[in-house]
Amino acid sequence: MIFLKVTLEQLKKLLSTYRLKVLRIHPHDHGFLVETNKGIKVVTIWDNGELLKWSNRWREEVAIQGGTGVERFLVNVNKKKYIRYQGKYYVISSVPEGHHPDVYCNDECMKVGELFARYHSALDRIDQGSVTPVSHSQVDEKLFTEATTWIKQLMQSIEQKQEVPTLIDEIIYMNLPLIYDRFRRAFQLWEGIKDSISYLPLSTVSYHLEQMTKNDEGWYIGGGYNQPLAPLHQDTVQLIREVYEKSEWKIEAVGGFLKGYNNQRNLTDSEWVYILMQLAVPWEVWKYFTEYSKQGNLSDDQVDLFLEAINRQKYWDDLTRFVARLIDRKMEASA
Amino acid sequence: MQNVQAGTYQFDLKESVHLSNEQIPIEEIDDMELVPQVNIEEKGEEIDISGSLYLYGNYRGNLNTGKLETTESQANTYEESVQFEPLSTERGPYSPLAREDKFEYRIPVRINIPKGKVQDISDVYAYISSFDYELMNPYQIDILASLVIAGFREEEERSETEEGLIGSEFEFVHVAGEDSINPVEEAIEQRLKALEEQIASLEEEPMEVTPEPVQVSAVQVMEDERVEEEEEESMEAEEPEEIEELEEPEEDAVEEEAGVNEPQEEMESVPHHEAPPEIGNVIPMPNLNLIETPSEQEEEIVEPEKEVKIAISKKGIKRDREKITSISSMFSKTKTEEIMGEDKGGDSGEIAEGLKDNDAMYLTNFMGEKEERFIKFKLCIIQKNETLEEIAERYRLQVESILKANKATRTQISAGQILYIPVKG
Repeated sequence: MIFLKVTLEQLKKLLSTYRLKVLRIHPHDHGFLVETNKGIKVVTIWDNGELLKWSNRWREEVAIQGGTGVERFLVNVNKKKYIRYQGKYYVISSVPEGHHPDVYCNDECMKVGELFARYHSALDRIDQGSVTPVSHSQVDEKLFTEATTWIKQLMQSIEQKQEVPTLIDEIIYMNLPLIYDRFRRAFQLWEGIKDSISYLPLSTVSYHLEQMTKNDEGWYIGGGYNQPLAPLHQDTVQLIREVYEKSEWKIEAVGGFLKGYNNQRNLTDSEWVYILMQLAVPWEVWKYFTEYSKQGNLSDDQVDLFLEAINRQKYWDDLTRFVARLIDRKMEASA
Repeated sequence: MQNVQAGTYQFDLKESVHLSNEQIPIEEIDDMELVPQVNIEEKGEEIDISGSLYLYGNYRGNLNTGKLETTESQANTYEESVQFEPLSTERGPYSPLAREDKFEYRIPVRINIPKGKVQDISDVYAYISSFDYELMNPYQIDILASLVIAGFREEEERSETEEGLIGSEFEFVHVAGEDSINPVEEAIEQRLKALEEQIASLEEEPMEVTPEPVQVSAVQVMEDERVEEEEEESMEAEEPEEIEELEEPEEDAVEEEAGVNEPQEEMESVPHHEAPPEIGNVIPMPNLNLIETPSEQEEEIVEPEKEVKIAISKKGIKRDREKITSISSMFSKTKTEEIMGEDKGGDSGEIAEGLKDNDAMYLTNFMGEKEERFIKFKLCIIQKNETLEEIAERYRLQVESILKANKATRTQISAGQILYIPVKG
């Protein structure tokens, strides 16, 4: 949520350059949701001009390629797609009304995959400009070295605890080697494809189902406001996990998504392995292990969530194996 | 049981010790000791040797838990590369942090000796003469040990040996290792087995008389012995026949039926126990009634071919994993009042001298010391790169003491070898 010292009058003045009459304003994650005389508009605020240009490029590319509606930035009376105010960029776009994808419907999962592939295809084609990936990317070599070292240290600290170990100490301790194994395997996968990652175009670090909307006129893709960038497929993994979780762990939903994606854009072997590598990392439980390490224990609420995360890891493992099987089949078919 | 030497009896034990689910499986045994805690008391006309053999062990296990997989072996397929062991919210039966554990196990013992077999109760002592074990699997250790009871009258022992220890009954009660076996079924099975053996041995002999079975209780033993001793006076040292060890059938019948001495005429009036006229030797036969309806849990197996009759009983049988809080307190119970009184006398100087040389002296001198009645051994497995000095320091012994106890020289000691560590009881 962005809190800006922008008064209602200032905002009305900004919007007047778009020939829009403000009726009501609501706060929004990335700015304001504004009810106008020409429908609901979103005012997003950007810090980085280069990032804004990059975002505009892929939107225009999607629009050029067709096949889906896309959330484009509106042009104001100055024939610009932004207003610079107080060192920030104010951008207005239309928000299509409709529903977000239903992941219980396999056709819609395929459609999500297809739309997402269209977005990635646009990224393949556009000039990346001078945008740079975030320095704290979710996956890089540092992650593995730090995680494995950290696991060893945490195990030692539990072993050397003076107090009688608690049940949580014991559960953490007995699961650490299993977590370690996942990181180790993920690192092996990473080692095989890390060089090719640098050739992937950049995308936003995450992509969510709510960035896709369907109404009577068709599908729209949008969102991704003022987001840091990372090599392609960090967003893919994020979206796959969301589809899987929201479908209540239906692997078919993921299968549909991947099929739809590949119909529109072929994943290379490296991209497949990159996706697999990220799935192998136990992100959800990892969060609680790091919390335990920082605090020396977990609060009662955290314990419940931690145990739930451990139970849910089974589903993530299933998903990882599923994707691995798809890769094996693809490799066999192409051999 | 064996009469290993004059005035000494040895009872060989074989016992399986099973770990509970809560204990970590055994990977390496650090040390183990078998400690006799036996009271020797005079009870009426008999000497009652009762108590337990306590097995203590320390071991290591669960050593692979917490080890991180560091091999860089590559999987053959991508699916194989992401085959992960599931995470778990269950701790499991034992702590994943546990690397060492210990076990304690009790083997109850009860031996009854006619008072006439000993000159002085303070002469009688018990010790473990040998002790070994085998790790059958990570959850089971088989124990082999010999319990020796010594201090019997040698002269009488010799004459009893020659004469077949007529009328003397020792009762050895060994209680342990029947977790999954119904004690009643077990008792019946053992009786049947013993009786089958008896019948088999008797079938080989010409049987002229079929007397009633011998069922001897401790009190009866004493009665028998008194009768027998009277008879012995008139008997010369002839080669004893097995059947000569036995009582007259009428006498047995009385014992079995009532457990106390009753007028013989009364018993003879009971047809079931009526024995044919005695013609020379008396051969014991089993009383099947006892098998079908055991009146008490105690099982007594009479082995007529042996010199000393031993009853291995299931009385009070129960695998008992009593928590022992203090070994020192345990030993404080071992001395009988009678012994305590006697030992205050002339032996005290000898004991004090023996104590000076610590445990090693005990090993060699324990036979002569009345106060120190038991010997204990710890078993120690020599670890790689471990020196005798380190072992000696750990057990606070002299290296020479350990070598002496093992009848070995320095050059005969090597890693992996089991050392007997003498410990004063």
